[in-house]
Amino acid sequence: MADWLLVGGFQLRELLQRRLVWLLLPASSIPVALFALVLRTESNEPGKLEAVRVAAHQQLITMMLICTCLLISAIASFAAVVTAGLDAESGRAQMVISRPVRRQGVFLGQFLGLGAGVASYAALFYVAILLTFGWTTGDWPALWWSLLPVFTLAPLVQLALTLWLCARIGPIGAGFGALLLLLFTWLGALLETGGHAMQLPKLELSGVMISLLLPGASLNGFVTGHLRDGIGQGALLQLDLNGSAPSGWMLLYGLLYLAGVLLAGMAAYRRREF
Amino acid sequence: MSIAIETHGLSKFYGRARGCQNISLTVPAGSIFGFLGPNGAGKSTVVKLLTGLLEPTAGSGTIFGHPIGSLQAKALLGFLPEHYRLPEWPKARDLLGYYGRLSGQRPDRERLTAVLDQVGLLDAAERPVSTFSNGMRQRLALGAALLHRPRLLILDEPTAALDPLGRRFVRSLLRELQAEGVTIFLNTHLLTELEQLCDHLAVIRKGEVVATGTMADLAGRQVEVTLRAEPLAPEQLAAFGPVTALPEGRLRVVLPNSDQVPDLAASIVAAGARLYELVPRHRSLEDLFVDLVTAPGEVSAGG
Repeated sequence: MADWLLVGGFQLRELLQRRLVWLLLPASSIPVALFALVLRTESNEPGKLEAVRVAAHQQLITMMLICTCLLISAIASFAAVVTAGLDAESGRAQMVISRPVRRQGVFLGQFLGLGAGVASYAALFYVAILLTFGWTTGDWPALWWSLLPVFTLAPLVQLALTLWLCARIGPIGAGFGALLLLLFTWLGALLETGGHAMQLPKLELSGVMISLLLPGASLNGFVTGHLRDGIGQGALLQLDLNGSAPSGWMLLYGLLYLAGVLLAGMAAYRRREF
Repeated sequence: MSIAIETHGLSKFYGRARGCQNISLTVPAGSIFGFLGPNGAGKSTVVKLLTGLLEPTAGSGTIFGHPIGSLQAKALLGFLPEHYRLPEWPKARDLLGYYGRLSGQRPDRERLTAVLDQVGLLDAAERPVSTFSNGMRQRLALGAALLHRPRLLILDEPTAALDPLGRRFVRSLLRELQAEGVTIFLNTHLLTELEQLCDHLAVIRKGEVVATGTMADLAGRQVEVTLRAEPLAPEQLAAFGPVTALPEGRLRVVLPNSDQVPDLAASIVAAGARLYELVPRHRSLEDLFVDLVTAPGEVSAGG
């Protein structure tokens, strides 16, 4: 069996052994339930214009998916640090690397094992949010299923980045570095949105440039933008508070970014000293 | 003579700090080779270079003819790191199976049972590692190193976590493995382990090898003579070796080998002194070790 498959399978099984992972599932149902409660309250408010109601729904699902994406990305970084990162420091990796395995395969296996867990969690969360939304409001955004892979891509990019940093600078620096970059690029996305809303092209451009450092926020923007447009036959308010949805090029950039980080990570892991 | 490990000028620097320098070793196949040095001497750096965990800054080495760090070399060695950590959740048998597959084998139940039995963990085969004591973990890690039937076993402080019974168990296991033709490279600072197990030895100090040879040559060759003779000044014996003045008029002379004991006695008598006492003693490994790591100089015993 290939090294990456062996390591990936072991890593995933190990992830599933952690109690914290299983605690996350019931804990995640709390924000979803709150989301349903707010939607129901919003939908049942008498005398509200349909256009205002749709806009509120758009804002709610956007905020929910942004918070979820940020949370799962942070969890992906944490998972990378406490498993693959600390393995290298604790001497556990020595038991693997001293065997006739390709180091690139070990790195890829770590990503795939952890990535399978992170992507499954993100997919569950996404589906729960969209089902809650559809059942509560009776509005099913067009093509919401097809956006699922894009939604899971953002945490995977974060995971790959953290693993790469772990191979370069060790787990603690990697954890802090990846989280700081995550927050910085989400701030960039906020600037982009603000610049777009206030029609300040320079601010919007600087936001776009910052977002390119780590495309998680842009990928999330791609998802929320398309979902928003799919709710209630498109935006009914003239004022677009959410900014423009990133184009399909951003999806391509996200995929290339992921591939690039994985290649850089494999190269760093190959050179890494244990 | 078949060679298991051969290194030429192997060096490792971390920036300007030296991990080890100019390490040239020849480890005969089938031997138990002791690698000795004080803490911080660079022993683990050498072990990591041999197992491919570190890239050498300079020099080269081979394991059974394959370059160190290559997949071919790694396939021939089993390694027990000093600071290892095992996953807690798998059962002992499953974990061994995983390590076996990583080593390119597909160990069947029979082989797993044999190895678990070999390291004395057959009764605990179906227990998760989290329930194991430190000694059991050490033995399981040793089992993981043995599973793929390596021709070379590199052990970094293999008895550090073991009680006296555990140490005896490991010693006997290592002798069995040597009898099966496995070469064992033993990195330890426990002199008793080395004295009881090793037939070859290298001593490292401040990152450099200061002595290497067979155990008999290195530890058994030098003789320490304690004598009392009057009148006799220490300088009169300086030609034989280092002389130390002891209380009650005694002197201690370190001779290169036991052939010189009669010459020493004859020289004392020829100098006109009366010889009251002369006690020769072969130097222990501890004596050799203390001398080598506290004083500069190199002992080369060939072999």
